[in-house]
Amino acid sequence: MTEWLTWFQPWWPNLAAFFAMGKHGVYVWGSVAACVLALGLEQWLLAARIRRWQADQAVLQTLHSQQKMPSSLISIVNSATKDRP
Amino acid sequence: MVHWQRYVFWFASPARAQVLAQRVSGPLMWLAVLLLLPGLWLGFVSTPADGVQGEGYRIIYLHVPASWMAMFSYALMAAWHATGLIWRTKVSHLMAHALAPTGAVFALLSLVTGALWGQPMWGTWWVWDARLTSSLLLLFLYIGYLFLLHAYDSPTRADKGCALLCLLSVVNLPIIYFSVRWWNTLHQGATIRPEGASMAAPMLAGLLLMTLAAWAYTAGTAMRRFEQLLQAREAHTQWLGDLTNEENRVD
Repeated sequence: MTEWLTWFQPWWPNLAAFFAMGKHGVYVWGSVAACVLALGLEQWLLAARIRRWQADQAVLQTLHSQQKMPSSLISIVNSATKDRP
Repeated sequence: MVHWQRYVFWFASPARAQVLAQRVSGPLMWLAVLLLLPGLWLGFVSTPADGVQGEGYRIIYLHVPASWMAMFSYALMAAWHATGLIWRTKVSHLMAHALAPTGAVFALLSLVTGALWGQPMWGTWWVWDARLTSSLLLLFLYIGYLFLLHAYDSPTRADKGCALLCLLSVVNLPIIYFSVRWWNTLHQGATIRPEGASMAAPMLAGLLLMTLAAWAYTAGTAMRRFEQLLQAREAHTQWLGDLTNEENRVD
């Protein structure tokens, strides 16, 4: 029973030891930083791509509602540029 | 006879697939966070140091999930491409395209965290053994796939070309997995086998939580990307619907 409790207790005596990670702080925290950077960048790029596409569609919608662009032309624009980020 | 086929191919319709992707991507990302927090706690705060490697072993909680997800994503991509080729469902290919970038990121992270782990433990950033070389090959395959995806003008040709690349190169996955058994490698052998794991319980729990978090992250991101790919590919058809409704006077 008491063994389960150890799962909730920190192993580190203090914060300095936590950041030092024995002698391996650079490697461990470097790995953490690489993961955070890579995954954060991926999310940001995906969000940027979605935003850009929605902005393009909003422009087309505005042109269409102002009757400056027919649906057929919008369809052509979209089919010509599909999969182009 | 038609009944079960109707349900198997339920989400082959782009409209239904889009609604599904929209609904699950948010909850999957939240699930990833929910699994990540206890995983990080167990891995970096509460488990003791390793007897041999000291504190540096904690990179395992990043390296193993990244490696597993890189391999699993590629296997999923192959499965989706096979589905798309056999049953000619367009959305299956799009699901594979959506998985590729995330798989590539995890493949890169697997190599980077592996190098950062190897330097203090093995004394080298890199070695051309079977496991590392085949993992590097996996990264190159992902990059090749992504370049191929954007190389085509026609989306249907892109689907077929990428499907070919993915299905032919999926043989790399069992090579990566069994490399530590077939060859004399610097990379250690499997810790987790069907017979059991030679890892302490809290460490194993932390590792599994991190792996599940990586899975949820991959699934959520892929679904978001899938939704976007679907919208981009179907956009021209949505606008066609307006022609019959409103304004021939505009044309």
